[in-house]
Amino acid sequence: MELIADHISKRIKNKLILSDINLQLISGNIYGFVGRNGSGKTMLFRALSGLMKVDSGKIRLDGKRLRKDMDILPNLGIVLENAGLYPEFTGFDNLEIFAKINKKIGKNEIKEAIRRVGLDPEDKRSYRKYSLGMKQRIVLAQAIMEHPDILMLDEPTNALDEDGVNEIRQVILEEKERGALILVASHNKEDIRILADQVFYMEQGKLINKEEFM
Amino acid sequence: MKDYIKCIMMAGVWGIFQSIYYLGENDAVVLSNIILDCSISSQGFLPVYLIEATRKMMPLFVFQILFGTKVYRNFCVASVYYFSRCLKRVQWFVKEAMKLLGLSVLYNVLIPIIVIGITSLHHSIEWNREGIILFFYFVFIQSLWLFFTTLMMNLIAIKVGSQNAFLVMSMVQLALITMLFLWEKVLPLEDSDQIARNAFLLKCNLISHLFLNWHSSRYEAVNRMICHFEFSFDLNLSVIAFAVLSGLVFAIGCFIIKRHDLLISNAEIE
Repeated sequence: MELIADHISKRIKNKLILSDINLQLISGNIYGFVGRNGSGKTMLFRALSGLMKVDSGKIRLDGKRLRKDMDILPNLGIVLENAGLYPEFTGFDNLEIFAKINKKIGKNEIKEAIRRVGLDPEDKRSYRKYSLGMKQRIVLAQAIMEHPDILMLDEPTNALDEDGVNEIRQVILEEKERGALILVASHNKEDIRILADQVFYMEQGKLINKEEFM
Repeated sequence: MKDYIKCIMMAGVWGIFQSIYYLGENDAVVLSNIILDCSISSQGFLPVYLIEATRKMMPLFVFQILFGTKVYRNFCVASVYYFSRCLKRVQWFVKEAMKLLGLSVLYNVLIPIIVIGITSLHHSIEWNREGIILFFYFVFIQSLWLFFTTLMMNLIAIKVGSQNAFLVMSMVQLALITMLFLWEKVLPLEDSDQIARNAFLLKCNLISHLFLNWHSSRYEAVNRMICHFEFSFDLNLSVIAFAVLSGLVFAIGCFIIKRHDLLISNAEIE
C-alpha cells in the first residue's frame, strides 16, 4: 500500500497551514512527524485522511485519488490530539457506536482492543469520568480495533506515565508488524527515536530538513 | 430509536393538549373540524388572529428545537472518529435526511390521530371524506415544512453553530409571520385595485402556505370548508412549493456535507 501526497497546500483564512507538502509513504513502516505546536502536523493528518480537503495538490492511495475516488481513506484508524469520545457512554459503548458504522467487527474484537491498551472492557464508568491517561488509551483502542491498514496517531503517548508509554509503543510496533502504514506525530523525542523508520520535520506548514529544524 | 420515542412523546403531548378543546362539546365531532383545529389557521391579518396562529405553530417550533441538531450533532463530540469511518458522506447524509423526513411525517400523522383517539373516548367521531382529504393535505404540508426548515437548521448549524442556527431560523419564521400584518392595511386583499399583486405577494410569503383556511381545493366540499377568502391558493400549490424547497435544501445539504472540512474536533465548543 502506498500513500502519496503530491504538492499539497491548504490555506485557511489567508493563513497557509500546509505548504507544498510531498510525501511517499509505504505500508509496514512508521513515519514520525516532529514539529512545534502549530507547525501543521495535525492539519497534515486531517488532509491525508480526507477529513479536510486540500486547496491544491493530490493525495493518492494506491493510485486512487482522495476526495475524488473516495471521501476518506478506507480502513483508517486515527487519533487526533484533543479529540474526545462521547462523554456519556462507557469506553466499550463508545467503541461499539463506531464499530456499528461499518460493521467490520463484533463485541469480542472491541473488548480485545480495549485490553490491548491496558483498560478493562467491563469498566462501567462513562468516558467523562476517565483520567486523562485512560482517555488517551481508549481513543487509541478505537483507532486499532478494526485492524486498520493506515494508522494516524497524533501525540499517542500524551498524558501517559512511563509504563503507559511503553505499553502504547509496544501496541504501535505490533501494528507495524501487522503491516499497517503508521504515521506518528509526537513532541516526545523518545517516541520518534524508538518508533520511527523515517522522520519528517515540520515548521509553518512545510516539511523542512533536520538541520533547519534544529 | 430514541429520536422516534421523543417524536412520539411530543406528538402525544400536543395531541392531548389539542383534544382538551373538545371536552366541552356535546355533539359528535366531525373529522374535518378536528383537522382544521389541528392546523394553522387565521381569520385574517389582525394582530390578534396572527398571534393565535403563532400559538398554533408551537408544535412546529418544538419539533425544530428537538431535531434542529439531529444531523449537526454528528459534527460535535467525536466527529473525527465518526467521519473517519464514513466512507460515503453523501450517502450518510441521505440516510439522515430520510430519517428526519420520517420523523416529520410521523409527528404530523400522530398529532391528529391522538386527538381523534382521545376525543373518541367521550364523543362520537363523524368520519367524513373531506376530513380524510384534509388530513392528507395537513400531513403533506406540515411535514414538508418541518422537513425543510429543520434540515436547513441543521445545515446552518454545521456552518455557524447551533445557537446561531436557532436564532436565524426563529427570526426568519417570526419575521415571516410579522410581515403578514402588512396584508391588513399596506397590501390589502379587499377594496383595492392591486388585489392580484397583493395576493401574489402573499403567496411569496412561505409561511402563508401553512394556513389551511387560506387555501382552496378542487374538491368542492373541501373547498367550502376552507376557502373563506378571495385570495386563496390551491392546496396542491403549497404541497408542490414545499416539496420543491425540501428538494432544494436537500440538494444543498448534499453539497455542503460532501465539501465540509472537519477542521475542528467539536463544532459546538470550538
